Amino acid sequence: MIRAAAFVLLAATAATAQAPADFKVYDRPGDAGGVIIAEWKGLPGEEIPETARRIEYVISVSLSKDGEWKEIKRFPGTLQHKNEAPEIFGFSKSNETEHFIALKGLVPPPGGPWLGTGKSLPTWVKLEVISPAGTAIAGPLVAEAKPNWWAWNKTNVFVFILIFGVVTFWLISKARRNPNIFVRRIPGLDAMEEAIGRATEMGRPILYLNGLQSMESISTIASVSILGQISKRVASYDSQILVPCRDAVVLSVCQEVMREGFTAAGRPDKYREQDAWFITQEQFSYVASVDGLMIREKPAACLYMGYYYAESLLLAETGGATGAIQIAGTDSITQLPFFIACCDYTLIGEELYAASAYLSREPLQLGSLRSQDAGKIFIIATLFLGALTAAAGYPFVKHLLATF
Amino acid sequence: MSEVLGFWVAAALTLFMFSFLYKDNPFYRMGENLFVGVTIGYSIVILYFESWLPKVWRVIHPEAGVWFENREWWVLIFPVTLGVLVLTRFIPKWAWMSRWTFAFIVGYASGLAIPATLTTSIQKQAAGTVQPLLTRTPDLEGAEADARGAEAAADEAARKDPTSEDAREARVRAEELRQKAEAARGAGEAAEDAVSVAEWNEARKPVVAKAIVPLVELAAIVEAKAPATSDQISKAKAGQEGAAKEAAAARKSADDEAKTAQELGAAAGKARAEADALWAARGKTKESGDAARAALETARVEARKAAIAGKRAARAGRLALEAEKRSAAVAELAAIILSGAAATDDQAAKALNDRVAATKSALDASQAAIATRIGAWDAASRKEYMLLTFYRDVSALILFVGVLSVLVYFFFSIEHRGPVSKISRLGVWFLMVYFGASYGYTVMGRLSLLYGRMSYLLDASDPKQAWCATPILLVIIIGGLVFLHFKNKGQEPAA
Repeated sequence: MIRAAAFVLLAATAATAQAPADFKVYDRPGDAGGVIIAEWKGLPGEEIPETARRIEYVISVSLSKDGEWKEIKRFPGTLQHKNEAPEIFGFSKSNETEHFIALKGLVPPPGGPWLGTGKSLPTWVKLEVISPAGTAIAGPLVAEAKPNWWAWNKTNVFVFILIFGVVTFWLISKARRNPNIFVRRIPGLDAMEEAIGRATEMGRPILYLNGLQSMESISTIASVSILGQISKRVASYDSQILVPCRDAVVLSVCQEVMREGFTAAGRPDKYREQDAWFITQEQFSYVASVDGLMIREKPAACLYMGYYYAESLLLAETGGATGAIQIAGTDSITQLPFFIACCDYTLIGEELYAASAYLSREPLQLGSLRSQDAGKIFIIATLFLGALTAAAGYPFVKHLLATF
Repeated sequence: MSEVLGFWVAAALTLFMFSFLYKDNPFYRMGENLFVGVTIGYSIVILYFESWLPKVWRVIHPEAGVWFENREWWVLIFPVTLGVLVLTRFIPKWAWMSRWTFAFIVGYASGLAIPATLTTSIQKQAAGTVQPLLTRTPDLEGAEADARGAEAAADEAARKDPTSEDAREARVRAEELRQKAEAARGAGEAAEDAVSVAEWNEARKPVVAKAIVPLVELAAIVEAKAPATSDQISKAKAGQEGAAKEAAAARKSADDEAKTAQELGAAAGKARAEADALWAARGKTKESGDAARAALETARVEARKAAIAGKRAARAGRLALEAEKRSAAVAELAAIILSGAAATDDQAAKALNDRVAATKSALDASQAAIATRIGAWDAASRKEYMLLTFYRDVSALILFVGVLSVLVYFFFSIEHRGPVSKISRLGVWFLMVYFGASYGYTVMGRLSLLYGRMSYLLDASDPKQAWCATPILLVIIIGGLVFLHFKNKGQEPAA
């Protein structure tokens, strides 16, 4: 019955060969440029797949209204609905019945004038609708692609950062007023003191690795931060720390952090720049070299902090074979099992980020640790709310969390 | 020759690295230093050709600068200045200037990492965890639409290149979704049938209860073994007529149902034959495929209608048969009563049997109504079970509980006592199960890598291709290690 009605409706529409309503062409909002969007409402009856399959849309572009038209895409009425691109159109229910197409704005040929990043020439767009009873044309309409300042589809990320930022600043200022904040015991970090003491007693160095990622990685930043705290203790115990690095920038930052650590402990004279050095950027040659170093130097303690890949087991196995006390900390979830199996203590995931605050007890870091916990409470609340609303058929929490 | 040399070098370096399994030795050291040296040299060359030349030198060099005239070359000033500042580390007096670059790197790295981490590690994961924990909405139409969409995609892929991997994958996916939709549809139809049977039994229950009344009454009169009164005689006449009418109506209804079922069966057969013909004759075009699929769908719908009608006809036939049997029994009893004589012992005993059987049939009808209603609920729940995909619900629940408990484990500023301790302990269990699975999975990958190296060493043992590189090198290395062992005996440093 519905199908029959849809066919009748389509026949009536096609008989008059009307163009779709609301044909629009505009620059894609919130992008880096280069793209223009054409959108229009589907013909009546398109919600029935059999009807939609009999309709064909043809999109053509040109540099002028009366110029040469170039066909860009041809597709049936069953495709290219706006709900396929929530990053552009959001999650409105009406998107299911409206069509769109994202087109590259036309640019001058190679060697022609340069328009600027993301900008295009005025591009004319025409829509042709072919249905069983005839053909209709919408447009042509013109639009220019240009870059935008604000990516609207990332606004939710911005708002979350803003909220977390404000909460973090508030908790830091609170921690400055009252630095006696409870931090639960992390056995791996308690064992660090023991490891440094053991190295001092045995007269052997401590081997400290920052992982294999560069300075852009959060785990490397956390690792370097822990190195600062370890350096202070190493300086006060008058022990030695070896830091072979895989990245030149990480090396430089490590040297600075170690120098500061030794200075803060009142032993700047004990700092030796050559205790942190660059090996190579290639993963397995770095590991081969560090493994050789472990066998030759026989460090009393091996500390693996940062992000690791396939080398985790090679390092931890060799370290274990030398009899060193081993403490690992990583947020690389694929490598954590190996560290757990081979090391004496392992900091799992976020414990790595908490380590610096735990060791230093500085209000700034304690405040930020509390802010992490506040973030987790927020996430738990969001999950509960999201699950309940999704079960009730309102997925707005999921939409709020959507990332593009 | 160069190929043989390649085999020798690669096999030697592989064996040098494996020699570390024995202990640190000169072979391993040679391999290690060569490895480090080669990779550093390689990195420098890559850096020169991939970064320095195209991104700096060719832009700022007046002769090579194709960008220089009309591109935004000034954007280079800042990064190149920062790069140059790094080089000040080689001049101790100016080395402090390099900190600006590092401060910038750490600052922008944090700036880049925070939104990226928030997006990938928090928002995406949280959005993935937000699932309706118990979906109650059946979605047969959705499953069928998915199957149709996948079939269309498979046809499209096959039209482009029927032998391609994409086409095969699309076909497999379409088949999976088709089976899923078929199972959901089967469960739906079973539920529909069960509801229909339950409704029929529920409708039959009062009918049977009412229909047995004359039989029970007449049987009681016969059982009394006394000559009938005028009242009883008129009751017998009325009962006989009523039962005969009921039986005739039931038979007519059964015949009508049977006729309808027959017509629908013929229509279904015709639709199926047409659909089969269209399917066999379909060409490679999308239209012909769609038309054949639509015809098959129509044939399926027609067949379903015919099957339902057939079941209805069968049930109507059973009702008619029961009514006819009842009518015959009533007629027999009425004949005894209308004869005016007292019933014999045999007649009384048979009447008792008829009465008991009639009462039992009413009881059975009542029980059947209850049982089939329960069956209908069961079938409905199984239908929903199929559509809800129980697996998905359980997965969503496990995921939800796992995420929450693991998050609780990572609370640092809350003491883990009481319920928090229990939840965080559950979180540790989740973590350990994951780590165990991940460990096993990764070990399999590592074994595959080892197998690759062993396979290479085996290839390098080939006398023609590699001039027996592996065995010869193995002998040299083992010989060297044995020699070094005896040479250095007694010189091992104390642990």
